[in-house]
Amino acid sequence: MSAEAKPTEVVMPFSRKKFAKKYNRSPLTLRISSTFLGLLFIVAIFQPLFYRVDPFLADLGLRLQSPSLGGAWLGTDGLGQDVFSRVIAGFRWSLGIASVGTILGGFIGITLGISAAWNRNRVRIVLSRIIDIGISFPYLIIAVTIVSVVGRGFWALGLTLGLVCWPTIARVVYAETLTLREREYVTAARLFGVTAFRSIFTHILPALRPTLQVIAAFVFADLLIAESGLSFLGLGAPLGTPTWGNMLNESRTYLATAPWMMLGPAVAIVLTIFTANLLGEGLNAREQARSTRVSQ
Amino acid sequence: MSNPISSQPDLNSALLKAVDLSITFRVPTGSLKAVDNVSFQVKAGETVAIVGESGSGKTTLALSLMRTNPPSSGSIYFENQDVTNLSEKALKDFRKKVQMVFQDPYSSLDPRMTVAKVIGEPLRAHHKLSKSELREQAGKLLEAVGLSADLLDRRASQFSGGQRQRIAIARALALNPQVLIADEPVSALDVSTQAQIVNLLQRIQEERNISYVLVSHDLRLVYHLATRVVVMYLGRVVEEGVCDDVVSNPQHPYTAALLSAVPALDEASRKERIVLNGAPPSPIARPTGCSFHPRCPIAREQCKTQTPELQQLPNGRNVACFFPGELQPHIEFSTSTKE
Amino acid sequence: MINAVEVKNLKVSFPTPAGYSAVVRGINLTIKAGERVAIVGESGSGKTMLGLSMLGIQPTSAKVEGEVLINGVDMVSAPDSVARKLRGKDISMVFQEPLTSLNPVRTVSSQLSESVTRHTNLNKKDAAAKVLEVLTAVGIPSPAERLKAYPHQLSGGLRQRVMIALALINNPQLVVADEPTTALDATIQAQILDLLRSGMGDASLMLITHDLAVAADVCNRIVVMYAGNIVEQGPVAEILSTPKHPYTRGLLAAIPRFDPARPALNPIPGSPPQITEIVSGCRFASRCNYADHVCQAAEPAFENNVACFHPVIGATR
Repeated sequence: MSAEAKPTEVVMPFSRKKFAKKYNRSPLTLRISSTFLGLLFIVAIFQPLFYRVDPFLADLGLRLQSPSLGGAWLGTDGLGQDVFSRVIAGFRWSLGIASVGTILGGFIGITLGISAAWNRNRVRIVLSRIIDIGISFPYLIIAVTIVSVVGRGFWALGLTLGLVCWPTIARVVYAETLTLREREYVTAARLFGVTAFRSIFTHILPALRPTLQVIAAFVFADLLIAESGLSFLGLGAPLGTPTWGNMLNESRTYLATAPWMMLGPAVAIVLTIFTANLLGEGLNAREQARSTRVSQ
Repeated sequence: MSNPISSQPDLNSALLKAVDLSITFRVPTGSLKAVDNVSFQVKAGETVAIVGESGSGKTTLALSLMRTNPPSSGSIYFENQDVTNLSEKALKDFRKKVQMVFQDPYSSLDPRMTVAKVIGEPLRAHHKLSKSELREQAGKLLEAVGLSADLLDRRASQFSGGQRQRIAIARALALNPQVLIADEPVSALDVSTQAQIVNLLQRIQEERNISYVLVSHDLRLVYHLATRVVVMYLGRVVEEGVCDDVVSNPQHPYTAALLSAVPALDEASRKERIVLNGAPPSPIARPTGCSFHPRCPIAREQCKTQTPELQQLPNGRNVACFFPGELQPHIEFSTSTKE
Repeated sequence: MINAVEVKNLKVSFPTPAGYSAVVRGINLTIKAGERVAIVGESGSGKTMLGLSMLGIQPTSAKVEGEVLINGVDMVSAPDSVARKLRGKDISMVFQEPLTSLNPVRTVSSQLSESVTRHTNLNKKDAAAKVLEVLTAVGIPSPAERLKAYPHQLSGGLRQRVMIALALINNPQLVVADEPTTALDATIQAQILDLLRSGMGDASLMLITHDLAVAADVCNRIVVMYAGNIVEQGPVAEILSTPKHPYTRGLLAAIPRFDPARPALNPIPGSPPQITEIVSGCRFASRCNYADHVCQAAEPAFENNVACFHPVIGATR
């Protein structure tokens, strides 16, 4: 029962007015989290603007200083490097690696998930088993294995995380596509002579988009943790690189003498992950609100 | 069985036909014969109705006429060309000629698409058209089904059920098909809009001389639209004939019961209603002998052991019953003349 | 008790961005003991919401005003603890899809006997006997064997019979049945219609349906609803032969018949108004052949069993 006068709820080519309208209608969680995450990305991209001093500038004379408003806001580390600037520099690593990982994982997951669901019989069985196996592997362990082979640079880490995070995405895509492909409009398209490939692009992917946005946000949060975790274990970024995990790892040594060292990276990790999760929740809430609106 | 006077169906004049078609599905407990050895044909310009209850295989039959799933045996012909084993690529031409309208206009249209895209979808699959040509064609089709071309940019989800069914019909007409398969085309709609769609289907048939395969459980609707009726029970055809004759003088007891079960506007039909016992059995556990015998009011010993074949009666009717014509329903015929 | 239920000026509305919109717009309806009344209307007519709000089981966002009197208790204003006691005992409901309204993980007998013990003082043994009795009464073959069955193990027709048994088990005054046969096959529908017509014991029936033929088949009286209002009501024979409201006439003319002349169907143009739509005057006017400026200006009152400024006189066709 849809009113003809009902306003549409759709993505159109970008226009500022539409964006503003969409923004104002979104749930509060979504508004806060997307704004905040946007700010974080701006920091990551234009990080030099936010440095207090060069994050690599080691001044042993200034080592282990406690936080002060006049000097190092978050103190300095064991090499006398400014913790605040290093936290800022960490944004590029953490957000960058998590983004690369999510995009790669999304690509693999979507491709595998749709191929498994679209095909019948043997192809489906083989592919869905591959997804099941992928899911049942503990992913930090695979990551550790891959990292020890491919190395620990930015791209290596991003690709590694991409290679471990796809199963969750594939699983969800697989399940959703299974139901979507049985929709009558998909059958109808086939009966009109529309090719499978085109049908996937016109019917399946657009329908998957809202779900994908939600899992992407959660996977992104997971990868932030994974990246920090790897660094903390000494398996992430090369030693000395300003990543939050590395900084936490380094601060361990000084836990008794300079506990403030861990404050900066810890807060940055928690805040970013929280924001990403909030974004996922917000997207989810918007989707639910939409589907109830449509069903009325 | 074969009768010299009878009009042995002239197979060459059939537009779309199925010969000895069987469709089997694999289920956990074995195999399910959803359509069992059914022959079926549609001639140009006629409306053939497939009638039956859920589990009768009527929708499966209609869909397999469109080659949705490979038959386990038998063949499908379109204009005397065997299309049974054509690949999806080779079917492209066939797909243009035989089109479908689904029951539920809510699930058969992608809610995210605009009307222009919905109607343009089959066109794009077959013709290289520019965007403006597509729009123009879609607009014309929309007007052909009684909607304004101004609505092209609305999304499918913004329309009411009846309007959606019009859009679905416009989409099915896009490729100028010769056969339109309509699976319960109005049963999901409100009563007052049902008649609009029924009239639209009739008008389109007159204008374009399309053949319809109408799948329906609504016998009043079938009587109103169809020229021939095929009655199915548990995947088999139990009766087949000219619509007027089948309704006024059903030969199979199941047809009689179906006609009698139509909710009545008068008291007499209600009082003399033939009410069958129980529910149709599952096609997996098909009864022995005549599949209908456990529910049949006139079943004898013979029916429990022997299976009646579909035979042609002297009056041209095909029926699969040992005692044709024995059970007759009370049907309330209206006697109005054309207004 | 002469009346099974008395509905007085019942209004049900839902919040929308533009304030509350009424789906049921002030319904007055009395169903006598033993009477079978059909509420006929299309989707959006408010017929289902009328039924739900009579039992007090409308969606939580709905605002209900007016009175629904059962046994002297007003279901609308009564506290939930009181209404709950009436529900399932004095008034009960049969839904369209029994599979979703029966509990899938409990057996038929446990659901039925729970309803008995909740509302009466019968002990387990007597309750079990009562369950068997009512299952027999609704025509379930070999009921003793079905007691331990789960709903999904039954066919659609049997499930609906169980649902009706559940509605009847505490000898209610009124059973509200919402499209009870829509999901069923033709031959099964015929069985259930028979049951609703003659197997309901002393209970009155309020049958909610979109199908005039089903209404005529089962009931004594037909009440036609359109866009939240009752537009016409009367005995079945009268409604079918001499409908006064143009909408009722339209509905009748829109049904195909077994007529060898195959007269063209006369559809009602357009579609019903949306609940959010603001309509001045008669809500059917925009689709009505008889409408004039009077109809655009004011809403007709319900008088002499019809709500129309230009009631039609004479037989159909």
